[in-house]
Amino acid sequence: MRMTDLHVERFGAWQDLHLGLPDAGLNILYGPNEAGKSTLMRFVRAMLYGFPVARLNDGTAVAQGAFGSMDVDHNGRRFRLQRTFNPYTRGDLFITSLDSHPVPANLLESILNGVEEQIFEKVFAVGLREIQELSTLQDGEVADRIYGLTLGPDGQKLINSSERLRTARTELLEPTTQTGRLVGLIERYDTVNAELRNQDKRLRQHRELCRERSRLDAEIADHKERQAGLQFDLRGSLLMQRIHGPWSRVQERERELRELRVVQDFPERGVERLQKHDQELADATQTRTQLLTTARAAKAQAAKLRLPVAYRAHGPSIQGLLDQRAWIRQVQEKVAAQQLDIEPVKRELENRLQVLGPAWSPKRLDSFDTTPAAHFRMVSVARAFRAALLRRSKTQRLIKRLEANCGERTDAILKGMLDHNVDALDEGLLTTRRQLSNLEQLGKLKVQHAELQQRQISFDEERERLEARLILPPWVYFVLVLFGISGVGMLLHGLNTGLQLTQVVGGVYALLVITCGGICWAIKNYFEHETQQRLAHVNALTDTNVRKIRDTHQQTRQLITPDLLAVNSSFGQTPESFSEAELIKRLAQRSADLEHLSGDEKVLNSRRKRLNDLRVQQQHREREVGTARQSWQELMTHLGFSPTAGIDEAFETWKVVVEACELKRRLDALLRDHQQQKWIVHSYEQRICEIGRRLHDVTIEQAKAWEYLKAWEQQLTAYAANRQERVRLKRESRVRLREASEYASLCQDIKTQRAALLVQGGAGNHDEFLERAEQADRRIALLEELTELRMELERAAGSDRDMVITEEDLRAYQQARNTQCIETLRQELTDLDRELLQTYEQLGSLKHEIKHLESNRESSRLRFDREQIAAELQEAGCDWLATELAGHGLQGLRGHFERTCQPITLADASRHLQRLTLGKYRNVWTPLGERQLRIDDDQNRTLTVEQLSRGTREQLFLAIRLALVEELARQGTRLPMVLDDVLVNFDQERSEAATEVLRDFAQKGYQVLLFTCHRHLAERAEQQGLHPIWLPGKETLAASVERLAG
Amino acid sequence: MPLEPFRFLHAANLFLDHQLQGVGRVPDHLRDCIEQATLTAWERVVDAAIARQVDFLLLAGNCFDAADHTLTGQVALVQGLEKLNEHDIPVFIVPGVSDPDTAWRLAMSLPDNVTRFGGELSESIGLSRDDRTFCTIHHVMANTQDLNASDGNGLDELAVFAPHLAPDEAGPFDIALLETIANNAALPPELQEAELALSESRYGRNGKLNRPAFDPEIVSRCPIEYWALGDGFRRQAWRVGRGMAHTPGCTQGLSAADTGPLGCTLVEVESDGRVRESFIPTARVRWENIAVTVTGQVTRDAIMQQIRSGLDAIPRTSQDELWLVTWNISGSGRFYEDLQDQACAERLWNDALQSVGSQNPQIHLRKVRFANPMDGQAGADFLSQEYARQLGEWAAPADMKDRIIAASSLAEGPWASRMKTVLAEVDSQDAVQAAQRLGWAWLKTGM
Repeated sequence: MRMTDLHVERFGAWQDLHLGLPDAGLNILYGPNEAGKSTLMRFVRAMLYGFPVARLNDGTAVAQGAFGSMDVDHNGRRFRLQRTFNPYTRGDLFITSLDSHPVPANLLESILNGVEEQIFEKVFAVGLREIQELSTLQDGEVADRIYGLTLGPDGQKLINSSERLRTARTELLEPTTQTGRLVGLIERYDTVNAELRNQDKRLRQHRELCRERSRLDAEIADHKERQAGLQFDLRGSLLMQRIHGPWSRVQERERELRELRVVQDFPERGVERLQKHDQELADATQTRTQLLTTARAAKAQAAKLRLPVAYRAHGPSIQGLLDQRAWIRQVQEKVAAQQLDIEPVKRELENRLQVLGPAWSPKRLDSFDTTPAAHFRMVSVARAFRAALLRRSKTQRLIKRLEANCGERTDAILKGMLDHNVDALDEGLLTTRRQLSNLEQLGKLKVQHAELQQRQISFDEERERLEARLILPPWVYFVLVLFGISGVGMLLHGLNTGLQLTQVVGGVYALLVITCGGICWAIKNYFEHETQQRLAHVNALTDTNVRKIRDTHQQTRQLITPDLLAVNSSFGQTPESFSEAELIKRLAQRSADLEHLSGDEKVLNSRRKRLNDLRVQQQHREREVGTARQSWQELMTHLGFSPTAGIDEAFETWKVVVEACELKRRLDALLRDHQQQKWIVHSYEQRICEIGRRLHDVTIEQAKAWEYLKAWEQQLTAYAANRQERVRLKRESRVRLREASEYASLCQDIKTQRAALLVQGGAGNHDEFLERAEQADRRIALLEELTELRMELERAAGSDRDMVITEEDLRAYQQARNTQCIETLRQELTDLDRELLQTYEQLGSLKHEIKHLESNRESSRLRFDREQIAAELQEAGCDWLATELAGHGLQGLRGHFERTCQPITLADASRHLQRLTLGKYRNVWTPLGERQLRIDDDQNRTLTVEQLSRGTREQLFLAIRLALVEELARQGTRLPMVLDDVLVNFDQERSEAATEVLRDFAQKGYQVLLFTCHRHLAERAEQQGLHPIWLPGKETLAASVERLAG
Repeated sequence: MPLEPFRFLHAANLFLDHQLQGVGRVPDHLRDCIEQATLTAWERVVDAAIARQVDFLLLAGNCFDAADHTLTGQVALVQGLEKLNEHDIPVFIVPGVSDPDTAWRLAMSLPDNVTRFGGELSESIGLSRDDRTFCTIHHVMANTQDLNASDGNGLDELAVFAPHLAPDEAGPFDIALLETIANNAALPPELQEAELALSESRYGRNGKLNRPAFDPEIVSRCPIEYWALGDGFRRQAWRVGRGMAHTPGCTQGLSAADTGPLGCTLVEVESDGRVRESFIPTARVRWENIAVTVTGQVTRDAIMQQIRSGLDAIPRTSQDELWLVTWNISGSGRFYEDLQDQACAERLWNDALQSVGSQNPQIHLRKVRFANPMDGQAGADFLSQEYARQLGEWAAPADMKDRIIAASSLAEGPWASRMKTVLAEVDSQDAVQAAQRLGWAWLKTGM
């Protein structure tokens, strides 16, 4: 859009101002201060966006009565934008086309292209205040356009990378808070190192312990050496002590032996032997005398005892009877007991025979066969007979049960047939099924009929609705007719009266009626055609539906047969009694019942067939029973039982007979044994009588035999005792006499030996022999003692071969002094042992401690851990170094990016700024992710906005606005730029540079209105051929106002 | 006259009870194995000496690290020596840089079968069998000189002083056992004017070892058949004059640089003077590297197959119980980017191992390393290219670490010195690559 003329009818200080703007891009408008330059800038803004709604203190609007217009050239066409004050809006806008074409819709929106008033104020129409303030560029959309709507993917990557770098650094090491992976690892490393330093003590401790162990080893060796010396001294003293006693005794014995007289060939143990001979002689003489006396006394006592002769002959027989007496007594008791046993058996047998009847006797029992074979034969026949009976009764029971079952079923089937009023089940079932099918088909047809009827109704309704739409409402015809009459009337009236206006109006009315009528007819035709088509379609559908209804009705009538009509009556009801659904239900029930009855009938037929088979079988069973009974009767006859006896009865009789036979056999055995026992007692008593007859020569009654036997027993006992005593006395007498003879010989031998001993000892008598014996014994004792002492001395000397003791030592030996010396040495050795033990204990403890230290692997573990931590630390250090390197790399990359990859707006601004500042400042950029401007000067220094001078800052903001206008233009928005005294603070050179920049900028097609109060700028522009516009001064304005008032 | 055949074991760098570095996080069940790795290696050396009935054992330095102050290590050493004593196997020990003579003086007393050289030049020792000397061991000293600090490899220059030994004083077979002393340690007076038989060779603890340059003229005058070296973490052997020089490397690798099987050397001397050396593995824990290249079209199964193939390609020894593997991934493409997520890479690794079946030895992934991510991003977007350029300005200077600390928020605080210590162990190149990955990931996702 480009402004061509401004018509300010009334706005602020301006009234009836007309400004034509030349075609050249840059329009410099000169006016002194308070000439109304800013008002003009606001007027332009008001034309585009409306009058301001602000009000004065008295409540009147600032733009009260404002009115003006602006001619614009937009897309090759010219328009006028006229805005009139309206207190309720921001003014009424009227747009008119200044060429022959109509005004397009949304023209203003097309011109502004979405640029809001705020942006227009901050970018396109700016005054000195806006150009001086950074905040006007820091808000909303303007800022977005300066700093880039987005950072772009690369910028975003850089920002995110910076964030990740910060996180990575914090994770690794945060020196201020002493946290991070590195801190943890270093602490762990230090801890392990400290523990390892503690472990170093272990090595020192081990060395000290080893030294102590060596010292103790040396001490033990020293002790042992000393112990060996003391033990040697002790051994010497002990040896002296051991040797001196035997040595002195040897000396004494040798001296005594030398003084003793020599007795040669003296019998060995002569005194002892002599005394022994004397003692043996005395004992033998005394014993002989006592034996002779005893032998004589025994002989005299035996002669006094006499024995009866009769008992000598019959003693053994009596003794035999006495020996058998106890056994015979037992036999007698047994006989008595057997008698008691026989009686009950005999009675029991008699009872059994009475039970069996008179035909049974003990003799018959003996001949009766009770063997297992006979019993088995009887059991077999009985079992066959009983099985035949059992089979017959089973068949009879089955026949009875089947007969009852068949009767019940027959009754049930007949009842069902009567209930359903059928003569035959199969025929009734077929009829019922056919009726059921017909009824179901009828139901379906009825439903289909109802649906078709419903569809027919809807078709009728739609047809009625379509037919109704074909009719135009009557008022249409009424209005048309009314207008037509009025038009014709007015036309005729005009023709008659000659009034041209009336003719025209009437003609217009008539034409209007014709037109409306035509339109109505056309619309009617258009819509009726469609409705007619739809109606024809509905009619076709209706015909088809009617045909279907007719077919359905025909099928229904065919289905309603007399058979179907009789269904109701078959249930005993009138035809209208049940609904169709009820009828279908009942027919289905009947069909099910009849099917059930049919099944029952089949079962009944099979049962009847089975009954006939059983009856044939019954006859066969009867024949089997007859045969078995005949066999049974034959067996009874053979056994001697009643032929008519039943099986149980026969077996009962068999049992009694077997028991009777058993009793008979037992009774016979008892009787045989009883007779035998009685015979034994009788023969014993007869033997007693026979001995009595021989002994006393009298006949003894058998009843008194036992009394005689008792008397014989006493006499026989006395005889045996006397006889035994006499034999003993005789034997003793003989023995004593023989012994006395032996003792006499012994006395003689002893006397001979004693005499020989005296001769051998060189003595004539007992006393002399004793004296010589004493001398000989002493000499022998001395020699033996001397030998033993020498051996003892030898042993003592040989107990310690290392020691050498001389005669002089022994002579100089003093017992007390030696004993004291031994005690002293022993005490010292004891002390030394104790010390040695203690040292050994210390050494053992030390060795244990050393072993413990050596087995401790804590140091290895710690060093392993330290290496692990060191590896982790190295890794973390590598990570830290890499992170820092990455940080520096990213920082460099970011710097490069910020300077080279800025938004295009800032790139354009940099270009403008460089020209505005005559190359002093060459680059405008912004840090990533921040809304702050940085400016690089020609010495590669980077400055912030605050560091710039006021003029440079304004040049920067102007450059940015120029860049923004270019950016918006690239997006299709071209609006005039109005700059109100923005060059006030520029120095001469930069003002001229700014003018050049704006001129070049305008030459690119941008319209720039530069208001200035500096005449030289206007004059310089004039010199350059720009034709500045000289705004009227204040006086001129006042004159204009007065002229307007006038 | 023919030589008396004999054999001996040559081991060095036991570093008893020294803990492995850069293992990373390990599960509990592997801890004991790693913690006692050096001790186990020593036990295996002892067992090998006994099993092979060697005539003597040479321990050529660095039996332990004095800085560890380890009692366990000393106890293990003495126990092993006592065990050798029970089998009448003499042991000759020289100190190394990590276990200087002073540290030995403070250590535990040694059994009678041990001859420890050190501190000062010792007399040569002749070993005899049936009253016939078959070998003479000479104590030789070497001095290290620190290279300039900017080298960054921790290499030391080694100056080996030739032994004062005339050719006519030579025995049937002469062995020089080399003691390395630190540069700041005082040289014995008799070595002040000695000739340097070996100089300008570099030993390093980072697995880099230049072949020592023996002076042929001086060496030709030394009747040494076998130079037993200790320092140097790589197993090497080379001809020197009339004999050979050998360093057996470590018995147990201590860091990720010590890859491959490690152990000691069995040296067998034939009657004709020929020397045959054979490697005896002792390391319980082994460090290995697996390289996998991920291209844009590669599938997950193909990468797993690469892993399996890489593992299969590593020759196993019977002594291996655990492998600590570094997985080097290079390539480009979407899959490569996904793998840069540590969890994703570990998951893939575990899946690959599971399909291997039974693991003997056990395999533990200690670290995943990626090639420079920007290498494969030549055509990357503007941000990535500019980021790499900006990073390059910081990463290139030698004093990068100091500059970074000075530019950080730590510069003014007490953490600066601490961070310097921490960063001293950090590989600058790793950090630069990590920074590249980090920035690239941030800029890629932008979230």
